[in-house]
Amino acid sequence: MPEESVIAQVTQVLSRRDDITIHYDPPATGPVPGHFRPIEDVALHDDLRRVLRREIRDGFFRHQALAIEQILAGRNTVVATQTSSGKSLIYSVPVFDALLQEEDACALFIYPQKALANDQLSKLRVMARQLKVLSNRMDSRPHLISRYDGSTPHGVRNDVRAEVQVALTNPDMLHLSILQHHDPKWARFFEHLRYVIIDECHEYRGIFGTNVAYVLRRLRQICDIHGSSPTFVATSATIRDPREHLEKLTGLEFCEIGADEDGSIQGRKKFWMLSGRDHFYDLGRKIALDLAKKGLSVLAFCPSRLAAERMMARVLSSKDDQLPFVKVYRAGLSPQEREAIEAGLRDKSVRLVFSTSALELGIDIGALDVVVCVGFPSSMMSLWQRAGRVARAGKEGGIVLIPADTPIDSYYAAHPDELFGKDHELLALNLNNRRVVYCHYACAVSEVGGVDDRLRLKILGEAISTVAELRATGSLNDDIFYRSDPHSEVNIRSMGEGSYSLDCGSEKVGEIDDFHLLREAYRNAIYRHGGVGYRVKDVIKGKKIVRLEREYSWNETSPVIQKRIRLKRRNSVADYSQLAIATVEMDVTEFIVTVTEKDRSGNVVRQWQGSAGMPAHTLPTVATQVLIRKELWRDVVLKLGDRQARCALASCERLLSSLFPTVSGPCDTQDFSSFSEVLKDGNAALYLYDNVYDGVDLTTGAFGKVQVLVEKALDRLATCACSEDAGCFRCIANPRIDEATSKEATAQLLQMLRDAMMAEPPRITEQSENSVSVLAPDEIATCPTCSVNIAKGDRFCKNCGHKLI
Amino acid sequence: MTTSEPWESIRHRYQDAWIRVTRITRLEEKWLGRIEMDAETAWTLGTDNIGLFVGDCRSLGRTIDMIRPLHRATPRCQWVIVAATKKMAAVLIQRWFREDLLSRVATTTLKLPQVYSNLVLATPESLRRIENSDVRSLGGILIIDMQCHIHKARQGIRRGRFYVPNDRPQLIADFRSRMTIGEWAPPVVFMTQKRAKALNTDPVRRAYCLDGWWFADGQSLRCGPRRRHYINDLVYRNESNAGAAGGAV
Ligand SMILES: [Zn+2]
Ligand SMILES: [Zn+2]
Repeated sequence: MPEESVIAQVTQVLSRRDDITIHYDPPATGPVPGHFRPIEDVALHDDLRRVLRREIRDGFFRHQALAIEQILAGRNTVVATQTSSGKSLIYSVPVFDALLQEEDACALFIYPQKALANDQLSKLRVMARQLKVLSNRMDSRPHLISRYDGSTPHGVRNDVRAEVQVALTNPDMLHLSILQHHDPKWARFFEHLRYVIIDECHEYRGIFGTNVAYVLRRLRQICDIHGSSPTFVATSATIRDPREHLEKLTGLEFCEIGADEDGSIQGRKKFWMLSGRDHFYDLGRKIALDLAKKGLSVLAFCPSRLAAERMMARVLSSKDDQLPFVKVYRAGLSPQEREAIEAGLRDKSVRLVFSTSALELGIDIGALDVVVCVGFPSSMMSLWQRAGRVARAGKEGGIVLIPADTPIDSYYAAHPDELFGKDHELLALNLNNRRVVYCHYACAVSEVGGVDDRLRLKILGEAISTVAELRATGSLNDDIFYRSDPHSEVNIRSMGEGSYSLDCGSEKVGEIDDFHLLREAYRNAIYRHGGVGYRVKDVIKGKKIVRLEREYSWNETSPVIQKRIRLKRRNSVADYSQLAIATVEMDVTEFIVTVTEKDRSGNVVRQWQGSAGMPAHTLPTVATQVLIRKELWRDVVLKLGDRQARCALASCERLLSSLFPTVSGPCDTQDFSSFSEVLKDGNAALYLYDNVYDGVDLTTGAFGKVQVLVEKALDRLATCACSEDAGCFRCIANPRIDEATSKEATAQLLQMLRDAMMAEPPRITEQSENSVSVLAPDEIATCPTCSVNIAKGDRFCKNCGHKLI
Repeated sequence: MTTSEPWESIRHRYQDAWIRVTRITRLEEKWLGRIEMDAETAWTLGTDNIGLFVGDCRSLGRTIDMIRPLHRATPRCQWVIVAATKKMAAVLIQRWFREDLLSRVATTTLKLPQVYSNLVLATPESLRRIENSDVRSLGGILIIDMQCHIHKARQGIRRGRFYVPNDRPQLIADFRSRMTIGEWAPPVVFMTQKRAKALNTDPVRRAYCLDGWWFADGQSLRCGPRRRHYINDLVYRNESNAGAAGGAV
């Protein structure tokens, strides 16, 4: 049977459905032939050349050769070419060259996820086996190339440390273990460290990235202590200005090999964007299954873990036969389960995988035929990462995009050109995040023997130097500086006040951070974990413990959370006569006002008033504020009436916040949040804020883009297909809260905002960024009635009962 | 102040203020002034989810004497009295409801809840047997826990092979949630022999699902109608005897 092209098969499957609307059907692109350079062009050890000649017959791709030359010349290099352009070869070659040239040379590979390290480890070992010298060395030292992370058994860690020359780890382990015990356990390794490889460095953004930036500075300090100065090599997905990102991330100068140098082969590739009458989950599932039944290998990206599980369950329940070729891939699978799926995809025994974004990263699952995105990815970066899963090595591939029922996906469905023409995003990092700087300062001090004066401030950077100055004057005395093991206080993936332990009797069920505590494990909540139900009996703030008891009912609980804003500082301000836009520093305090328990059919069983003893949660953060001055707000109220005006403000907030990713860098909906209120002084205000302690400068990026956002919000309202004035989930209806909404009123408010901004150019004042004030300590709050000290999160004074929040 | 439906309903219940007490700070026991349980106070306590912690109550006998007039409050305002134990409930019936110092009430045959005028007496365990129709105009929940023990009993009991969950403060919190109207839940008045400063009051607060405490001096507690239509003799005598506790409204 002659093989039909993938694109033709997808077209056929889609044309057989009469219930779909195709929003975007651009012509296929590619294939793109490769640009090669002979292996001999690059000065490498002879043994390595011999192996490469066997492995890559056509020679290096142009960008590979260029990058390797830079790296061999000792320049820090970031490679930001397309997925499947052979990036891992770029860093493997110089590392193996160094291992062959120098007997003691070491290299450190840093991966954002364990699964990636695993994938890479076996490849590196296979390659080393082909080099006789290294193969012999590996026989006598089996841990020569080895992982060193949380899943390395304690029994072999000593051997690994003694033998390893190529260590694969993650930032967590680097922070917690390797840097902390550099002397003497890792002294040999750091002394001979030649290369530091940072793979998938676009993952280091937001709070995680900010932490990693300081982990890497601490790494550089340790290298300096041991007398080495390794070359840094980073690989990245296509982002805007990868060089700038890396320079921020490491504090070093970088040279960049980007799209212009890319010489890789790309297959023919085609996009479709479509929606249907069915719910987008159902449509995605049906199309994916149809394609898989045709024999194509399909990867379906789902919006969440829960969605992936649900779609899988639907597929299984709708058919009599077992469909062994369908699987779910998500975080939390055991390595064996994961490997089985990966292998199945390679040998085609698995042809349909429902996946979360976990598979966006570069884990090798071979070339797939079709990617179905059920709901759009949250950024251009992940769109291209997903698309890179198909059309590898010159094969054909298709990408089917199905918009979710959300304002942002609906917006892009109406403006597909904007989605595809969008610039790559800049990644958010905030090196002045106070909490992060404090913590890493403390870690850095403990790594140089506990003496502040020994810090290499030039390497550690400006913010750490500022903290050093403040410490020298005695004005910074936070607990963290006096901890014997500051390292364990720092969770580099999510920065908060440390997480709560979920305890059922003497058994520890799990952990939860403050933010989720208020949403999932509040007092009286029914909390489900791994299929088991628990009831929250107590939340002990001082001890960071949530006490659970087994719960056997099928009821569900949900909280209503209220927010309060306290402004601390305004930085940049764009002043109009009727409104003002500003970047601000502020505290967002959240507390529960009611908890409702419903039975399976949705009847209210119980309702607890107040926070039921839960502490409030205060998030110090940064935001963009839109202040509607009272004159304008009065006009809005006159026009719409008080109730309508307030509803319109809430809808407006929802629209602006859900469309925010169209003007920002890559972010998940969890990264930011919004709030609006009518103030006591008659003004109204709307905030977009970072959902991260002390902020990462994500939402402050909206400062110059409010007008664009307002235009997009108006566009969404005008083009939404719903006929009712109350709107739908694709425009202003809120799927979580049942509240009155009006498209008409919301549009009027948005128009008034737009007119106010268009009427005149703003007067812009910039507060110069003063890192000393940003990094200075918090003042201690006291009760206005009885003047005892107040702990964070107290809603009432514990001494006199005065209402604080 | 609001004009919502729950507020109207609370105002109707609290046409008179029957409980008065002096508010203090927990640590220094500094006086913060006299408060009376009128509609506004009940509204604040009920919507902000604050409990009234009345510490330093003397003996159970003295406490009964102090709150005795409560059953003469107008039937518009009902109170649920939660006794820490069945034994205490028996004493309350004997010395308060029956005003009989001689005939003992047997705990074995004691049926709870018991309704007496505008009061409903129960233990945490018998709260669930109170019908909603019995407490149509509930003004508040008065917990009498002289030793301050109830909040610790959260684990349940093991009867042979069976584990009977019995979370006593939760039973009270659940009853209170059942009595909620709109954003208002009936206020909790917590009476104990212990002084607030001698206790860690925070776990007690959390156990009852409260968000804060107003602390009060038990010896300053007065019960009964406002003085201007004051007729009762016994209470009057008591009050003038205890004079030093001071500053009746
Ligand atoms: Zn709509
Ligand atoms: Zn106070």
